[in-house]
Amino acid sequence: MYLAFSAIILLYQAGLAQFEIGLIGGFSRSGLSGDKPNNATYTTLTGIGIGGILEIKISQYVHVGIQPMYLQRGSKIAYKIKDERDPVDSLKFKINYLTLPLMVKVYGNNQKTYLISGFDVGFPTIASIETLDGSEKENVLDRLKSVDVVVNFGFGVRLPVNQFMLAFELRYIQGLLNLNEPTEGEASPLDFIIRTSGFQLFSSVSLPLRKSK
Amino acid sequence: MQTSQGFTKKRISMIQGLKNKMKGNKLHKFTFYLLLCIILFTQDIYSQTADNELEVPYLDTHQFMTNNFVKDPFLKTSVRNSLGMGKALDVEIPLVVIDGEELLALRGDILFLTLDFEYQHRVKDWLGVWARLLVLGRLGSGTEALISQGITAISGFDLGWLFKLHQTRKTQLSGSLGLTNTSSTIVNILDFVNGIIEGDFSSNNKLVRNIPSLRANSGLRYAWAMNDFFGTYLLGELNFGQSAVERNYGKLFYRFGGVLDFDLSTRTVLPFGVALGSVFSSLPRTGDLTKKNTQSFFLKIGYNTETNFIIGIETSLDVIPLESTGKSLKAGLTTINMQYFFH
Repeated sequence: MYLAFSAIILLYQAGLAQFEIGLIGGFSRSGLSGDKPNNATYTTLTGIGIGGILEIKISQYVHVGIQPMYLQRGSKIAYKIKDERDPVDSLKFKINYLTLPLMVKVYGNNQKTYLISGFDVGFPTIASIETLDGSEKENVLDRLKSVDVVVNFGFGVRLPVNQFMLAFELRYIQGLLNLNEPTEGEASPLDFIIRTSGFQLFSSVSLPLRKSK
Repeated sequence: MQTSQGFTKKRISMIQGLKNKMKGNKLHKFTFYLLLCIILFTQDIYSQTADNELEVPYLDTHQFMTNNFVKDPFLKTSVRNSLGMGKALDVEIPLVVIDGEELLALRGDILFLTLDFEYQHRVKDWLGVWARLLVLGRLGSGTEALISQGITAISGFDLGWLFKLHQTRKTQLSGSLGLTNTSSTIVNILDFVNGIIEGDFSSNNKLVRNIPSLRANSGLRYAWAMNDFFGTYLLGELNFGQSAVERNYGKLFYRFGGVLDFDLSTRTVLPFGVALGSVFSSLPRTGDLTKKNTQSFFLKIGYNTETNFIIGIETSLDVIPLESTGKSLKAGLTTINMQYFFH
C-alpha cells in the first residue's frame, strides 16, 4: 500500500518534473525512549545506513523522494551497578532494518539549504540483544513488531559538484509505534512501551537526469 | 515610533560625548562632523526601517496579540518563552471512600508550574516549522493534598509544520501537522497506600509510575482582522495518541478555541494589546485524568508597540472535571510570556 502510494506520487509527477537518482549513506545514532527495565537506562548506539535515492522536483523549491535503505538502529542498555556512580553500558540492542523513507525537501531561496521531513517505514530483518563484547547473543526478532514507522525532521545543505549534487543532512527521528510485541501469554504491550528515537547524519550524491540547458 | 525616539536619544548622547572629547582640535572637528553626517544618515535609514517593518503578527492594519492557548496562523520566525505558576485552591479531596461513600474528605491546594520554550522558523512564505520544549509540574502544596494528589512531572517536546492555506488582505488560514512526545513521572501516594491496604503487593501497585506518550496532531488556524482595533482568531485541532498520564493504544483528542483580540494602542494612549479567549479540549494541559472536556478561559495583556517583540502576562482559569474525585478542579495560572520575532 505504502509502496503503491509512493509509486503513484512519483509516476504522476514524472511527466512534469525532473528526476534525480543517487546514493545515500551515513551514520545513525539512535536510542530507545519509553519504558526501561529496572535499574536500567538507554544510551545511544551508532549504526550505519546505506541506500539509494530517487527524487523528483515537483516545484522550484519542493522535491519529493524515496530513499530505500539498509539501516542499523537500536540502543545500548546501561545498568546501575553497586559502587559505580553512573550506569554502566552492559548490553547492545541491535535492530537492522530495510527501510523505505518517503521524504519531502523544501529548499530555501538560495537553493542550497533545505528542510527535510517525512515518514520512514522500516521492516526489521535482524534483532538481537548481546553483551558488549559479543560473547552472548539472543535473537529477539519475534518479540518486535514486524513494521516500525518513524517520522523524520531535519535540515541539509546541497552543493553542485560538476554534474552531480552533493548533500549533507542531519535528521531527528522519532518512532511512532511501540516496538514491543510480547509473545503469547505474556503481559500486554502497554506494560512496556519502547520507541526508536535519535539522530541520523547522512551524505548523498545524486545525479539530475535532465540535461542542463 | 518609540523605537525611533529611543534611537534618537542614544544618537544625541553619542554626539555630545564625541563633542566633549574633541574640543579644540580642528582635525578632530572635521572627523566629528563627518561622523555626525554618517550618524544622521544612518539614523534616517534605521528610523525608516524601524517604522516600516513590522515583524510581529498582523493583517491589514490590525496587530495581533499571540498567546499560549490558541495558536496563531502566522508564519513568522520567532522565539517564545513562557514561564508560569498557578494554584487550584480549596480542592476537596476524598481521602477515605468505602463502598462509594465518602467517609473522610480534606481540603488542600494544588500547585502548577509550567515552562515552555518554542522556536518557529519561516522556511518560505507558505511554510514554517516549529520545535517546542515543555515542562509541567503539578503537586499538592499541603500535606493532605500531597498525599492524595501526589506529584506529576511532565516533560517533552513538540515538532511540527505550519502551512499557509489561504490568505486575503484581512484573513489568513493555516494548517498544521505536528508530533508531541512527552514523558510523565507520577508519584501517587494515596493509590499506592490504598493498594497495600487492599492487599496488592504486586509490581502493578507502584508508588512511582513513568508514562511515555506520543501524539500526532493536525489542525486549522484562522485569523481575521476586522479593523485596526479588533481582530479574532480560531483554532481547531485533532490529536491522536496517548494522553500524558494514561497508558492506552491511542485515543482521539480534540481542541477548539477562539480569541477576541483588541489592539488598544490604535485607539487609546495605552501601548497594549489584549487577547481574551477560551479553549474547549478533551486533553487537559495540566496532566489530569478527566472524564469530561476541560475548559480554559484566558486573558493576555501584552506590550505591543515594539516592532519585533511582545512581552505580556497571561492569566487563565482551567475548569478540569477530575476523574479521581468526580469534581471539577478550578485552576488559576499566570504566565509571563516573551516572544521575539526575527526579520
